[in-house]
Amino acid sequence: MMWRVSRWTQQQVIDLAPDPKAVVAARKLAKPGPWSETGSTEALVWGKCQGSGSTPYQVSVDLTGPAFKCTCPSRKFPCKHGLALLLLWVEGSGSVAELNEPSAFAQEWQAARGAKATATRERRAAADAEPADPAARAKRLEQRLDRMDAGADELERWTRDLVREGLGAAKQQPYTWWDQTAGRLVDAQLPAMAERVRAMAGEVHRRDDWSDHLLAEAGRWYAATRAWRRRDELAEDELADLRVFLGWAVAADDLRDRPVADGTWQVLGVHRTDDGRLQEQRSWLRGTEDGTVVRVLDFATVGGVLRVPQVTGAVLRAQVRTHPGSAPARGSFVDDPVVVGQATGLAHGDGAAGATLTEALVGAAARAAANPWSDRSAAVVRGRIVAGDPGALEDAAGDRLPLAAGVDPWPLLALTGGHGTDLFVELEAGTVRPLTLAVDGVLVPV
Amino acid sequence: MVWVELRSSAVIGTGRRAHLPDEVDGHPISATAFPSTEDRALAAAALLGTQRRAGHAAHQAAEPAPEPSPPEGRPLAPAGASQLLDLALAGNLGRPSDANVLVAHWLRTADEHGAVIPHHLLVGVLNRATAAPDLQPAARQAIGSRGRWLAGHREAWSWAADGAPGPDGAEDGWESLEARFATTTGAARRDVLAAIRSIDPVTGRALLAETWTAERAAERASLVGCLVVGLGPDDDPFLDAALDDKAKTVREATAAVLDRLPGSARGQRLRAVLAPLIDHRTGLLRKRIALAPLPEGTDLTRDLPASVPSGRRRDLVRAAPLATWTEVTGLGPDQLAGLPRDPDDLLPWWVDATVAQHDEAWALALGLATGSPPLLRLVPAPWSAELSRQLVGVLRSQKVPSIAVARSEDLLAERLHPDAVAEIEAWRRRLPADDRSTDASLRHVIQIVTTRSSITEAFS
Repeated sequence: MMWRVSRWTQQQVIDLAPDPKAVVAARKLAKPGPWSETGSTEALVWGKCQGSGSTPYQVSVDLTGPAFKCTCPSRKFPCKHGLALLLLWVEGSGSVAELNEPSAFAQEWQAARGAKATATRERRAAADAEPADPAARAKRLEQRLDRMDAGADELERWTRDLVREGLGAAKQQPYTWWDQTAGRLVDAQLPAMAERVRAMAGEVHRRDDWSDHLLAEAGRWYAATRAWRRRDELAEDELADLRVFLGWAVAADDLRDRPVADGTWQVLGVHRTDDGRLQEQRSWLRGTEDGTVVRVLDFATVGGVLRVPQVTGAVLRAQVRTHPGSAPARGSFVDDPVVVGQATGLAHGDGAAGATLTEALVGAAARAAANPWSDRSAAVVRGRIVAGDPGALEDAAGDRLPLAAGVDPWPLLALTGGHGTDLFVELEAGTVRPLTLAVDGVLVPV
Repeated sequence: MVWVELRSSAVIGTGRRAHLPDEVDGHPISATAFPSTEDRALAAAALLGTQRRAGHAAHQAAEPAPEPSPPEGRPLAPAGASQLLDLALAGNLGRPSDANVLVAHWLRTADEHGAVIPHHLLVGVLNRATAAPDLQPAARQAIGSRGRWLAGHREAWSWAADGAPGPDGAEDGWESLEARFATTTGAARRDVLAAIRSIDPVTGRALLAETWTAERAAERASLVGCLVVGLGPDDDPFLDAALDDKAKTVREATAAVLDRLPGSARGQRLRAVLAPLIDHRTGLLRKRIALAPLPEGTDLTRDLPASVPSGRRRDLVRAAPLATWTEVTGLGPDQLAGLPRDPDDLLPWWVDATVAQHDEAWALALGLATGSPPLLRLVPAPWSAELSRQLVGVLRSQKVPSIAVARSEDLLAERLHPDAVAEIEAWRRRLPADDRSTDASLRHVIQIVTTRSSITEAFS
């Protein structure tokens, strides 16, 4: 076995928190005082927490999800009570006893969850059986395609004007000039293109290599419009990649017939971003049997709550439905996954433990050749962190790549001591973003 | 067609500079598919841009990566202790303002057990001790060889790096200190001089003497204060000469340093003035300690540069060696504090003198008599259980205990022995119901003292 079941670490609990405030609040509650009737089994942790009211809150945590239930009115998820209970359990000081049978309320909740999941499955199955109104659907699709066609034509003209008038002239344009184009792309139902044009308004001023960046992007936007016009000639995966680039999301209905892989998956790493409008959580999973790598994406608006992240290194039993598109495909969980173990090492389709940066980059280049619309790839490499601003990752061959913007090298150096370790990294524009370190047989999220 | 040419055409605008690519790397760009100059430029940009995006390479570094960290010679702190440190660093044990006290206690305890900080907490400890230099001596050991290695890669953490001058500092660190004394200014320079004095007082004084006459008055006043670090009898000639400095600020700063050196020539001169003025009456009914007025014409302006005539007696008591009192009367400070006094202000003057002269024996005796926090701060930690219990009793018997507690709350939290918690609990039970603020202060003290003992226990 490459994994072992282990009690969680405090860090794993903290990583589940929706925001730092929740951690602070949970830590204040993570002492035996307010708790009663606590206990745990392999899969469940439960307890009652005395809040300000007269009735204590009933808190249950399903470790396999992980999933949380609390009777408190907090809209944060998981709430401080659930986190505090886990912190108390992780501490292992005996205040949360290991029992054979869960308490009644925890058992009820777990049973209700099971019933709900079954009901959802049945409802989905029923929806599958019941065809939507095909005529109305076809009409909606036709309208959308018309709008997108018109938008693509306009974008193509706009990029032509851009190079005819000159990139230097575009740099002088006010923000509104970019924003108006972006607005028309939104109307044309090309939201991802709109976002790129809008971002460019700032990048031409922020980046030293603005002219390289703008020219390469303009070329890509132009290519996207040309590819869109010839979409009938594209293979299914190629069209799916293009759709992601344009921002035409795949409807849940269209995923119904997609293959579902049922097996065990290792959580390679998780990364969260927040661009001020949207929070994104990327979880990279690797099938432990065949090595397939999938990305599970979750989104939330700012102030909203992202799904509780999977624990780095956890081995999940899960059904994963793969979306169309070239590898590494996007995937989504059919049901809540169940944690069945904890991995101690890293492996990945692109590169394995011990791989060099060049091997990883060759893999990334192959991905880019298959999907020129993607900017990101992932790999397992072996290397050492080198201090600096921005800091770098150096492999056994002595080659280096800089760390991605926003990566703090100091915690990485503290954990590795400048020694070579296996890392799970994202590769982006010639930089690396370590997401997971394998240190002394433990997978540590960065 | 190469990228740079394409880019210069595109920046200026293909409308002005028509450069028509017809192939890219052997891929023809057909005039049928891409009829206009713009189409061709964009097609070439798409192709070359994709190549560039996919073609990122890793490069050999100009310099070899630094040596990795040496193996850790000491065991990591136990998991339970590490969790407490994590919480303390995040300000989640007690109030955020308690963090440094608890982190300091953690570091000292770790050092006593020969244990080191787990690696994932090193950044937090280094950052905190960089901001709070009091933590640095204890942190240097507890961060272990990994921490000292890590600190060597970041300028802000250089105080903790291998080779940084410390009690067992290496030579190269030493040289850099001397160089920094020559090149820095202001507060940074003072820190450098203090660091040098903590290792080698003689060299520190010699460095200061070398440039003394060339320094500006403000710089002299600031630097001379550093001589309290590693202060000893052989500093006396330099300091005594500095009492004649032409700047009053320098003379005052020098006198403040000499307050800490009772055996100095100045100390002896002041003692000779003070001793004949002490009037100790014995006898059952007339017991008292008195201080006679200064004789007319006594000139103390050189030895007491900050003094004004109306406060001369007070300033004399403050600066003259406290031992003068015990020698003249044959009584200890605790006995003296128990006598009727004339003037009654003698007690606060002794308190001032104790603080100015850093006299630990007087601090303990007068601290127990008065409960004054500045005195208690001078009583070296760790405080014994007995002393701690006594101090709680002293504070409780003050005229206004709530004020006494409020003033010494942080100090008690930092130093009180856990065995005194029972006394505080007993005190709390007797508090008037409406005295919420004293109760809150006492609860806070109990919380921090108990947390300190949890930290200690987590290591055993």
